[in-house]
Amino acid sequence: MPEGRYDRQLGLPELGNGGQQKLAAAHITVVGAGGLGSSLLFSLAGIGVKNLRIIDHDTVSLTNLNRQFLYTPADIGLNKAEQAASRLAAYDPDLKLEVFAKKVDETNIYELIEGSDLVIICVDSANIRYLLNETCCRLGISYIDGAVNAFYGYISYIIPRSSACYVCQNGPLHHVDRPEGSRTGTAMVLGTAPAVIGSMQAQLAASVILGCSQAVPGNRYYYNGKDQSIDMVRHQRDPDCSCCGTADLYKDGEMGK
Amino acid sequence: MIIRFLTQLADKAGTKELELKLEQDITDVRGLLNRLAKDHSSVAGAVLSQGDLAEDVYILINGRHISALGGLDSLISDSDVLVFVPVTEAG
Ligand SMILES: [Zn+2]
Repeated sequence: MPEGRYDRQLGLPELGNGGQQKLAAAHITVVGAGGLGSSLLFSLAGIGVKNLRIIDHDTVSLTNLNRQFLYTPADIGLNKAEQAASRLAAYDPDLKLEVFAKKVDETNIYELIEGSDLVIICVDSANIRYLLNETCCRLGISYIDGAVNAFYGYISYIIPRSSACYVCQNGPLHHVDRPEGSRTGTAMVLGTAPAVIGSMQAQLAASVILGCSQAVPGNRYYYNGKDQSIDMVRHQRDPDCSCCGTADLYKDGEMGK
Repeated sequence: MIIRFLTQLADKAGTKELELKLEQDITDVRGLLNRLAKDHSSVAGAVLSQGDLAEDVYILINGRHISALGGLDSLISDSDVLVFVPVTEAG
């Protein structure tokens, strides 16, 4: 890496003594390069995360541009993951970027997240969150979740089979299952909210990689963009959780590795 | 019992937290929702829709989703902490 790029952070005790190398060595998969992904990806690339896998099947549209500042009007109609990668490569030519311009589904999700040290969920679909949660639980990959609504949002760090998972937090899928996009596709979001939450996800990811995170895994941290408060909500792991519970999923040992 | 309201629910309810002493005849979440509808109109306006729990709100009891406990029939007592959570899933 070029001399001097990280001088303004290397003096931090968490970054010296090998911390910067930890950031450079971590393999991070970011699912969703929209509003959350815009600030998250720039933040991670900025601090020196070098190995980024970016997954997004969607194309840029004009209505994205109130919050998705990875893109310009010239990108409209082009794939987000590819355009994000080209923008980030200009920001840091040393980045090792993997791009998957594919829709995440049951058939490809293992291939898409396998080998990640950390997955960061920046999607706008509850159904995909459930699928990612289940896969991370099966593969034993920790992940950071985040989501927004209007002026608000939350972040959460989940360690499969140790902390509460997304199902423990949110209830089973059938409680929220609905046609994709029926609610979130047109959810009203002030463009700054995903910028805040995406940055919080990046800060949390950095702390996790550096080994200095004090966020409680499985809990959620809710940000209120009107009064600027952050409220922690405790979540307990459900022993009977259909995903991370001890009941059936891992009983045969096959998935318990 | 302590009842917490998150983000937009706190804005709508006009408070982040409500402390309630449960009457003898309120033993479950359904009973509590009825009590809120009767005595706490701004809170009810934030979390209820035509008397029922609003579609985009869910409830935690001591950090557990009520679907894992018994839904609206989940038992509650004065020592519990309830959190009303707005569905938040855009990205
Ligand atoms: Zn779980």
